[in-house]
Amino acid sequence: MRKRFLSLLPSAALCLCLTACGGEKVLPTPTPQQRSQVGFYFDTVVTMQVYTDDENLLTRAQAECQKYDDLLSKTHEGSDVWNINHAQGERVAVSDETREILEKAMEYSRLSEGVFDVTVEPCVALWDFTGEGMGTLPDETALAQAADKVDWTQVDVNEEGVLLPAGMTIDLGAIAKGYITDRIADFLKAGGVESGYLNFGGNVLTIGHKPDGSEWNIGIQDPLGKRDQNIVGAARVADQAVVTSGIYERGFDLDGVRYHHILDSSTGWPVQNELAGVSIIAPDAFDADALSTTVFAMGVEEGSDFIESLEGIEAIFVTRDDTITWTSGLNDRFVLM
Amino acid sequence: MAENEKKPLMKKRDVLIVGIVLLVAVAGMLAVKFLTPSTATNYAKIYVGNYVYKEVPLNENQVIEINQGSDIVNHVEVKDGAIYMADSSCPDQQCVDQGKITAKNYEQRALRNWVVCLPNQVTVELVLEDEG
Repeated sequence: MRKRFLSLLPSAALCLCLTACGGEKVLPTPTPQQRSQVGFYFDTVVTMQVYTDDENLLTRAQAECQKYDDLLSKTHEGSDVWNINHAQGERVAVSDETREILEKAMEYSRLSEGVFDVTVEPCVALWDFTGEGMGTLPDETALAQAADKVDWTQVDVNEEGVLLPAGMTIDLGAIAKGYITDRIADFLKAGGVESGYLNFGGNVLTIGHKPDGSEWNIGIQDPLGKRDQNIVGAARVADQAVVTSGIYERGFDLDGVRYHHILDSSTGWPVQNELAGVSIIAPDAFDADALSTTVFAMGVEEGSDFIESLEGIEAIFVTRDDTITWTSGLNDRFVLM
Repeated sequence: MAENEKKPLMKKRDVLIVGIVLLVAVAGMLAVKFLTPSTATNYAKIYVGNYVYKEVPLNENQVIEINQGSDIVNHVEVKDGAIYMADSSCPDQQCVDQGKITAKNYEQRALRNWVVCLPNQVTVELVLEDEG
């Protein structure tokens, strides 16, 4: 019997091989199941779509989102940002996360020579781009007085916390979402996710490649909202973030002028240049988020030169007269619609 | 082992057994491939807030009403394999403007396989079952 058994071994192996090779695809491990989840945080919608066999992972990721919302929301009483804005000139202890965001924000303020500025909050507070007051302009004198308070160099961040002169306030809206997107991606990767697509209110972050190994095709938003499906084209990305800032995200038209949420930190009025929108492609959403606002305020020419000088970062510019240009690294990765 | 080498590796009966096993295996594979009914239907998940409200198959034309009270109402329509926000009580109407999602067009949409009504917190996600 033992000999019979031995003689059958090669054929048994052949059978196994044929069975294994007979299927459509040969994968070392089966692709984890696609799971998705929606959540409403940071005054926007968060959609997460990942490949994982852990059925509770996205529920835990939602709890993480809530944690960051509680920490960084401007309106949430007791959040770090609320505490900083209500400290009346006292130093406030903050979480490591808040400190990290503020440090990055100041790095961008330095890089952009004050174009990017989280202390623009007193101006932001006078505008309403989404609610009941949308469509009315703020009082000019009040806005000018608010703009006088804007000065990122007055923000003092150290190990003990954050000190802001009385009367000054901060808004992390232009940078916190990107930071949180990255942290949630880290959380998902630590949970074993190797492929996924996150969209945090328009901030897109891809984790790895698609399960079939190809790159993600990400539609680039049409800031003028003129085209079918609202995209100007598509870029191939993997393990990268795509973030757009534009005049149509939040804003209104009045007497032929577009008033939008990207404010000039020196005047408090919306930035009015030739641009309708900028999309940034970067390895992480934190940089992409901060850069989209910064580069928008710089305009096409200065913005392009700035992005070309940065390693691994690309941009697509759409002007108000609908001219679309992009940085050199995208030549073989971006196609117009 | 020395004893083993003197005899042929396989006897006639062994060959027969191997043949039958192979035949059964191949037949089984073909049966799995062709006889399994193709139940893979694309469907959509409709969420209200952070929770799934309803799942709907895309091969049945229908209109789904999502009525949250206080005049907050959305109608999601499934028509000929496409799903979209037919109407919404929200002020900005962005969800209606986001248009249709189909299995073919989602990679050419800014929001890919999603339609989002931010004010009413109603979200539609197309889930592809026969993608592979």
